[in-house]
Amino acid sequence: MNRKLLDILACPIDRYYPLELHGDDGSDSVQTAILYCTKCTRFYVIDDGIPVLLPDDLRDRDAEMKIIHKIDNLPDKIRLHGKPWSIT
Amino acid sequence: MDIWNEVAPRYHKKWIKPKAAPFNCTSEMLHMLNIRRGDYVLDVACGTGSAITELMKLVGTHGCVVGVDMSWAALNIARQGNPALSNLGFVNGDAETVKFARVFDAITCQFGIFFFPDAPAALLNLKKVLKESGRLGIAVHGQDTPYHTCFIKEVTRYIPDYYKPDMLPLDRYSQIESLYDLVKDAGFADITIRDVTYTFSPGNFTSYWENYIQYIAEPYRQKIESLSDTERTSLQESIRYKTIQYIKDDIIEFPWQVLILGAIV
Repeated sequence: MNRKLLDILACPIDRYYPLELHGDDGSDSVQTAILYCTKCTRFYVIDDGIPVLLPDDLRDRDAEMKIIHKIDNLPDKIRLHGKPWSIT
Repeated sequence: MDIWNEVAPRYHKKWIKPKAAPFNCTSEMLHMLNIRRGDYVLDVACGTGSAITELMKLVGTHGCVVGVDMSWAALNIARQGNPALSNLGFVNGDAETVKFARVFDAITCQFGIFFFPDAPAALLNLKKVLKESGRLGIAVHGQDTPYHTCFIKEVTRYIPDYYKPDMLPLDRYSQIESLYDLVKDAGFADITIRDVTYTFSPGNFTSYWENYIQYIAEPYRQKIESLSDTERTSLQESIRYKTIQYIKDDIIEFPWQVLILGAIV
């Protein structure tokens, strides 16, 4: 997904925006990264350029964890305290 | 969702890539909605991207198209089938909950609304994503779709548990009245519905049968394969009998009714 389009995304729980972007490589096209809602502290993956912005009950924890494990140096607020589950 | 993730590549190959008959409604729907240059359009239940290319042509470089779907696998096909542009994006989201930091000029939903577990809730949520006077376009299969009904009516006679008992009927919005009421009750106005019938030919009966079996999702195919040879032959003959009225010179030509709705917030 082109970086510019990140500006229109919002958290599906509380419609908070902008979502923080973590773990990307800084290029124009964001392929694998984490979006973080600073209001509700939920994190969301971007998988192969597609943001996965689903409510908790529709999320696939195993599939998302495979993406998350590809990303280094996530801040503690996501790794330890992020919702909907602990990454450690 | 697992079913849709599994069936998405075959669905794309069979229906979307060749732009099969019912998908001719895309142009009709976008014309009805008067999609124009610079519009921001949200294509809900975009699947493998049946409307994306036409939408991108209409909105131009100053507009933007965002496709939303519950199936990541379908979105990935849509993404790969379109150029990586700064004004085209895909979001793996749910129509009942998806939210955005801005409002859109129009929302399109082609052959998707009948899959939503709670379509009224989805429309109420989507309404919040539309700007004032924003346009809504919905396309659904009508009642007269013998491509499916010839097969399904007979299969469910032979295999009563073919569908799960709690599955919502996929034809619940296939009549003008039920579709109109759904959209009106969600608070939309100026609702117009066009009733269009296309023609779809799956070839001869053997081709129709083989393609249908190949296209359906794995759990359904397994149920058909669990029939004995005799039962399967009998099922095939029952379906063949249903299709006779549509056969001309050994080739089936099915009518395919589509309802195309346009409305305004």
